[in-house]
Amino acid sequence: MRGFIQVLSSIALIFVMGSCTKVIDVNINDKDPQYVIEGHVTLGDSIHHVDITQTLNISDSSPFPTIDNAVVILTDDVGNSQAMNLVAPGRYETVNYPISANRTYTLQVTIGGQVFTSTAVVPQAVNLLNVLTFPFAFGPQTFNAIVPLRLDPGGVANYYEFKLIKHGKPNPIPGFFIQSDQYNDGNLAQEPIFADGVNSGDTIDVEMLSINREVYDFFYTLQQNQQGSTPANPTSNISGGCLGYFSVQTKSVKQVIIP
Amino acid sequence: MKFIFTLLLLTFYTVSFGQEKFTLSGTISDSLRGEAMINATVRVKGQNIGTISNDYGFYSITLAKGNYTIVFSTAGYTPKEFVLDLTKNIQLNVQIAPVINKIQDLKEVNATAKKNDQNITEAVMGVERLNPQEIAKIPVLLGEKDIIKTMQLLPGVKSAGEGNSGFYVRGGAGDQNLILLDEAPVYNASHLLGFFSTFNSDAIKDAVIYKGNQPANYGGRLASVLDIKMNDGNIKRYNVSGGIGVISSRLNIEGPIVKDKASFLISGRRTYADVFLKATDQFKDNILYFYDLNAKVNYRINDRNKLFLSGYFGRDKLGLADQFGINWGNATGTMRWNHLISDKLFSNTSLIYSSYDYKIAISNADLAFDIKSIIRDVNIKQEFQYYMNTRNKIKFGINAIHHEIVPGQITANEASGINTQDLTPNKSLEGAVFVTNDWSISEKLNVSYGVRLSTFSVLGNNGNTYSYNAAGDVIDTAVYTNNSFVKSYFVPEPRVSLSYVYSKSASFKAGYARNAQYIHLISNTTTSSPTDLWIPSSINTKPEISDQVSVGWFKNFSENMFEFNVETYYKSMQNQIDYRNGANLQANELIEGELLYGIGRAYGVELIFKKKMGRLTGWVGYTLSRTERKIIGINNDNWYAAKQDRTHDISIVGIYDITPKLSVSALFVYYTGNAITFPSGKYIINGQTQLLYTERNGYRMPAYHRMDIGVTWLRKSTEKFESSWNFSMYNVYGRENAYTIAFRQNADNPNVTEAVQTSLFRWIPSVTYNFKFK
Repeated sequence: MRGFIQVLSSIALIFVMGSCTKVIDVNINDKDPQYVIEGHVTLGDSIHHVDITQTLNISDSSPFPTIDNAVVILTDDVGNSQAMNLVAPGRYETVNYPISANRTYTLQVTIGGQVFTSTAVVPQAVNLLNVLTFPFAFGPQTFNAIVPLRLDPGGVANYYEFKLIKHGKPNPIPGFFIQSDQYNDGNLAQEPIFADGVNSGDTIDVEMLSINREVYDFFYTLQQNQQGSTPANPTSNISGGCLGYFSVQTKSVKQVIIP
Repeated sequence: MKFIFTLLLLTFYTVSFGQEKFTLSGTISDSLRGEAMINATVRVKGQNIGTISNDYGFYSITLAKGNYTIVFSTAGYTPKEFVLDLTKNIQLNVQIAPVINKIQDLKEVNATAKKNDQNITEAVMGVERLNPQEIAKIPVLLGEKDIIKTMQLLPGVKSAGEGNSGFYVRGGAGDQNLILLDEAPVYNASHLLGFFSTFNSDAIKDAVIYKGNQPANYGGRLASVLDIKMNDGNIKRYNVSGGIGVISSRLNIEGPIVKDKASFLISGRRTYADVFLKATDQFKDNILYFYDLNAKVNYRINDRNKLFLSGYFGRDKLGLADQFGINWGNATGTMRWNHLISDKLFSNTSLIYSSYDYKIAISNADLAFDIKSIIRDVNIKQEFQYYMNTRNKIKFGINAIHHEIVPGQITANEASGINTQDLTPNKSLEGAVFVTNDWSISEKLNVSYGVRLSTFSVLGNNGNTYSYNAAGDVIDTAVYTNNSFVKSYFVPEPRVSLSYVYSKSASFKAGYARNAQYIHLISNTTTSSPTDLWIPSSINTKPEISDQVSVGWFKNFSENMFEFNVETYYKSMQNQIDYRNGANLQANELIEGELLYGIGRAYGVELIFKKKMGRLTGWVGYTLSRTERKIIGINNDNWYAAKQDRTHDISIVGIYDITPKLSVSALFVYYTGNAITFPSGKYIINGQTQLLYTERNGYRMPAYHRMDIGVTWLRKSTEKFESSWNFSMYNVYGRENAYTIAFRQNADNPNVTEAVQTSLFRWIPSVTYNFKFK
């Protein structure tokens, strides 16, 4: 909904006046590097991974540095513990570590004496019932909105993240596609997702992840940073003074072909 | 506070007895239109005694029995003299004639202006007054003359951004300005996302801005009061006037209902950008326009009673076919009754309604939902003005406002899968008792002092009332019965200002004022957005309070042809509001959980040099200022610059009359860029580059500057008809001022992050044709 207002406002601006853009030089202070940890533990998957990188100065045009010497340990509340292996620069994975519903998982990352930890519970699994599409004419352009159908469990707060994987592309479509049940608790929810580059004829795997509130808030802040007037760093659910998040999640996938 | 009451009592006791005294009173009006003259001067010739007319043109002066020559005058009018033998109370209604042509009657105008030294003597500071005639020749964006945008050219008043009608006064936020139209608060004073103000200059008589030192009869906002008064309507003859511009047209009709007894005024405006859009293939389904309507009726029942009824209604519509639509607007209505209890005691009773609402509607196929929000006030005000003697004028009264706010109501059909959210409106009661005395202690020393005792009570609404912990999570939910008192606040607001006229043309002034604000605007956009949300003070949110001290030096030169004012101020603010990182402010029932509270401070120096007479008129204004906030939970709890903080702010305005019919004007503005949060680093999340932020508002936008020029050509001016052309060019030298600066990945090399500046408005020409049938 905020997106709609944003779009409308920008149309208004463009109509009233022609605006112009250009690349400029801005003098930005440097900042000491910080660790960035992204942990994913997914119900139903046997491989779970953690990515560790470092921040860069704005002016730096090298790739993001990875951390390859961390000790990464995943533990659950019944005593199953496993150290993750480095499988690629900055990427750590488990080997055959099944996840059970309702359990609590703890991630511990140690980098050169600094310890970062986070604990999260597996959220309630929700199934993706179907994925609809509808074309939406916006001036001269047509957007193909993707509408995931889910029966939201009533009486509890649920949070979702969507990944749109277009066949033939290595990475999901960029953007943070998140939804909550604030306005449709307990209903057959059909909130549309507007993503760039969804064209007629595309085959798209829609992954719906049920996530925890902390992770939703993290992505929500990143989304807001692209729109609001006063941006801020999202609050991490990992303690110890790093950026990033630890998401314990469930997954439901459906495929859709854009007509 | 006690001090003020003591002073008041003192004043009452110092009323001198002895010689017989009589009162001269009446109203001052314009001889051609019959409009009441606000702030016109009444002077006893040969003596330094006088008074000024009030907002309804009423004056009253009490003098010892004797023979006097009384002069009535105001800027732009030919002064009128009366010789009176004051042996009884006299009622005298005076009509003064406007000087039709500035240059032809230059001598006369100068004669009037020479006595116009109110800026020196008045014990009021931080105040600026404008009337639409004065600003008619100043160039403006898209040819739509705008009283708020002209106000922004005065020191201490800053524009909220390029072409924006939002403004900041002395470091205050946009919602800390009380904007009144015929006494009714206007909650969203802008059209089209800020590019036009809601005030149609055709309908406006007078506008005054008080920069924090407002008299005690005003209250409810921290930073300023912008008091705008509508014309009453020509009581002598019918007038039809209007203007046709590139983006909008205006029409104004006024005239007598019963000559010299009752009159009306209707004034409307509409933009027509959407008409052009319809002609294009691409954008034919877009809806984009606003309109507004001002109307007023006044009825002079007799010399002692007058009735005024005025209203405003405006609407903006933005949408796309029938899929999306958003519309918003204000509505106000004011009913006023002026009653003269005696020649010395003037009473005004006002019943005021004011509302602001927006509605967003979305529909597609079988899915439909809408979101509505409304703020609605009913306001009763009773004010008395007692013209005790030539040295004392006392204003006192009471005011009660009932606020009702529906923060965000969602109505949805079944197919949408969205729950209908029917929030009970927040209800509250704001009340005040005020008294203020303008006291001329001596010819040199004037003081204006008073107090406003304000209260605010949160009323129960049978709905949920939440309490929050420091993290913003709900810790308690309570239900209070309808209209029960949940929580009350009381703030005494003392206000004092004084002027010491140490020479004929110079004075020192000093002032102190405390202001309280009970309703607050929560906004997360750079410019004003129609969906910004007003919230009342509550069990969680305390009233905002400010204390401002200011001192100034006022000097006129060359018999008041030039005016030079310097003012400096320091203001401290309590209970300032900001919101948490990543707050959800839209249709959120738990919005108060997203808020953070803290303190603020603002200080600065304002200089203005004006030339008020002659062929060349105008001013140079400069402000040096700083405004900061300290809010727990933001910027590591350290002080940070508020986004409206600007170090330097310069404006130069000049109007030159080449011939009586042709004049040119120019304005130049320069200001330091606003404080802004830029990223200091970057990182990667989900394979996407994100920006890393450090301190809040630690960076600056580039400096802003621009020059506009205008030409006004009076084409025809006869007894019956007048027409003129107005040409203007906004941003003459096409400066690309930064409207936003965003950081993004370079398209060719995603590892490179670049800053992209967006600018609006380069070389915007406009032409307006104005006409008037008299």
